[in-house]
Amino acid sequence: MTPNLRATRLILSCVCAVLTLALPGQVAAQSGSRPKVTLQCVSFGIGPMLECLIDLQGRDGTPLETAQVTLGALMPSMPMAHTIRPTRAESTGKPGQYIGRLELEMLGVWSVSVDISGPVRDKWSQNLLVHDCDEKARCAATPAARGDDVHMGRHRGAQPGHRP
Amino acid sequence: MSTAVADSPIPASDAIGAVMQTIRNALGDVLGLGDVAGAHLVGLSSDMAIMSMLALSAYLMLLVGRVSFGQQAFFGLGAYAAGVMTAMFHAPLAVALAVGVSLGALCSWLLAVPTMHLSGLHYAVATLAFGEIARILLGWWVWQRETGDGPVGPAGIDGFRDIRWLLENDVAPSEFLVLTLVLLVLVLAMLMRAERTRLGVALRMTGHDDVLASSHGIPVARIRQFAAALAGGLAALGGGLYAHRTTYIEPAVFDPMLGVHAVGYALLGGLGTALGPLLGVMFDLGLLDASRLFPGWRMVIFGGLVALFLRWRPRGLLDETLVHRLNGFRFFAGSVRAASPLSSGASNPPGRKEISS
Amino acid sequence: MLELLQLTLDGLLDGSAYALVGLGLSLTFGGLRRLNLAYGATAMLAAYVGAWLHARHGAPVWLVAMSVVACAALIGWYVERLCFAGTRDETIRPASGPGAPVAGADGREVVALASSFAIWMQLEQLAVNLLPRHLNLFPSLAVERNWFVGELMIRPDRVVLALVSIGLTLGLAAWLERTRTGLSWRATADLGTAAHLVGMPVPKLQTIGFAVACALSGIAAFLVLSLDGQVTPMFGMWMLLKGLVVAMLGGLGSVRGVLRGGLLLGLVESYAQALLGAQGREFATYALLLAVLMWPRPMREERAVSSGVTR
Repeated sequence: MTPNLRATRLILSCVCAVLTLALPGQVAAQSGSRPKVTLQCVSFGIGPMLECLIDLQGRDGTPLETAQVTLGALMPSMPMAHTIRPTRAESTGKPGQYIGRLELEMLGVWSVSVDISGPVRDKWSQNLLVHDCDEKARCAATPAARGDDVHMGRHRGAQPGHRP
Repeated sequence: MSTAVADSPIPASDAIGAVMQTIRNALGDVLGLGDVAGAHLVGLSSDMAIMSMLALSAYLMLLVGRVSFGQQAFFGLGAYAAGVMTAMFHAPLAVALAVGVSLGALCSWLLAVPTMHLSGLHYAVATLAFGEIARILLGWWVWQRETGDGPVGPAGIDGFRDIRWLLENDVAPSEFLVLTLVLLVLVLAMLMRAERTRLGVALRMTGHDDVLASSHGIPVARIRQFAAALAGGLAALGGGLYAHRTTYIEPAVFDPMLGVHAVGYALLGGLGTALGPLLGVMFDLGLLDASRLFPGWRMVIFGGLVALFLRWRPRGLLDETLVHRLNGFRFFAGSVRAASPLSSGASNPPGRKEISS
Repeated sequence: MLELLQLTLDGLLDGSAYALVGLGLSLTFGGLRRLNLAYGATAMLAAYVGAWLHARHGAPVWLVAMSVVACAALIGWYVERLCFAGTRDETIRPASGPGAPVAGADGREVVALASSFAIWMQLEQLAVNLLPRHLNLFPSLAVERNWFVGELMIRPDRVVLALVSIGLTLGLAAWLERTRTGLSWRATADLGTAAHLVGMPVPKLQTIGFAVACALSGIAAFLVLSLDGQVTPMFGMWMLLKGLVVAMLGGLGSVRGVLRGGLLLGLVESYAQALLGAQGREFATYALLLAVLMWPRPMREERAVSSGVTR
């Protein structure tokens, strides 16, 4: 078979594959049934390690049990570097509550993502500011406010008085 | 499944759907889906494929002799455009990606027209400035639409949440990986085919020496603008895929370090072939980062290597000389069997191999 | 009217600081005809070393200042060796032709530009490894009081910073013009071959010049950060971008141009912040840079590329 015909077949088959995946799926959109996720994280140790408590509730308020929850994290300012190995969050025993640990590389703002599969499939993320903690203590990671990642703002701190 | 295929004519989408199901099962067996490590590998490969597109767009600009630190702006533009199309207008992914690519190509071309006459240095700084301007503009853009679950859409500096097309259409991460890889292969095939055409030769000539190229009649400025448009579209494609992979994008993601890394991948991997940037991406994201062998020293090693390469091997690892040699070797090995040395339009007659090596 | 005066005053004060930030970058370009993209990262790493000394070892302010400047010079020497030394001697390795990543008429600048960005990455990571926190304390020389001249509010420490930077800039311009060392530096920058022929050690002078320019960046970093009292990982990018805008505005290589550029930038930023907020301020910076670059002024480019260090 001549190279041209081979190449054409390869390209056509690729296009078919692409089109299939790109067609609107048959599964109905689950927009009405997204679970409610509450995330609370604490950081500790050198690393630091991040331990997160996840509370899952269905739309109607019933806790979501038997879900497979995977925790992941990435740094918003350098998305594809600092790959953190995603970890499975285990059920704590309390219905709808899961706990998991992530080994982070740096302090600062992290986008912690909660991947849910099982009864429903969803992905949820939140930006958290991971603080530096003393040796034995555990510090709560606070939701990152916009000023924490001083990237776009002026580097200098706020001027007194007249400057907004 | 096999009996159904034999019995009656199946509509094309069902047959292809069945094929995709088989692929998904096979991948599930190979990668151990449901296992976290397997999912990690799938995610990493998707990241590498997406980053390769960005690296290829930087490579295209380097090919025509321009260093561009602003490709992340088109990456971001493509991400936002594709996200808006799927999350707010419920368009299919193909349409959303196409819109992103067109927008990226258009904006890149619009930037290229007034800046192409600048010297390389000023052009690099101009692209850096444009990258930051685009990021700030994205940080200002707020456009939300109410849905059942609350508002969806770009929320300025707080980012764009809930780009859930993949989740809503039950596309597994492995299927998304296949899609990304297929697109990447298409792009690579296109670029590598183009190398053999007059357009590809003109691109390389422009990069090598623009004065010489224009004396040959090549419209240097137009070629560069075309390359810029192509590069913008490519970056936007990567951005659209990225937005759907992570379901959440914010302007802080598209900062100059991303564009700088893209140029680094292209320069390290090699400018001789479109596979060069891929090598750079696999080296950084695969070896340096994901292997966890050098925690916290990734950019030190990567940056040092790029600087060393630029000093002693400026065209990168897979530079034109190496590619030429590899092609010649392949041809030489094939010519033992082939009767005629000119059958596949090879560039290196067998006699020359002995002389050059 | 009063608001306008206040904005103008603040803009001028800020702008003088920016002039100091852009000085080192402009000088490295003037001396070597290369743009040092690792400039901000150099200053940041030096500042981080200073902050580390201050935080972990309680070093006094003068020691921190000296260490920041010395570190910046040292790192500048490293950058120069790695990135720019190889491209300096054209006879050894042709900067344009089959070897270069981007050949053509402007190949030389782009080659060196490209490798300095790689060191930028390296230095940023080194800095963050040294002090992993986001906010790191820096010895603060800030004075929180406000002076009042009529209805206008001025902070005395910012006035001091502005005076120091203007003085340093003008002093440097005078030094380049009036002294023998300044003359020799200008000679190596303008006419390297001729300088070499009369026996000047051109490579050594260029290395020293580069290190001095980076030391200047260290001074600028120390002064700016001491007013803030803290240093973050974003400082490198900030310094590079501000320095780039100022240097481009004033014409790369011109010392007094840097002062003019800095003041202009300060004013534009001040007005932009009043009109569009903090984001608008950043936007105005980059828009100004882009506008200056895209403005059809062929004379500027020729001058920037061909002339060395000017007053």
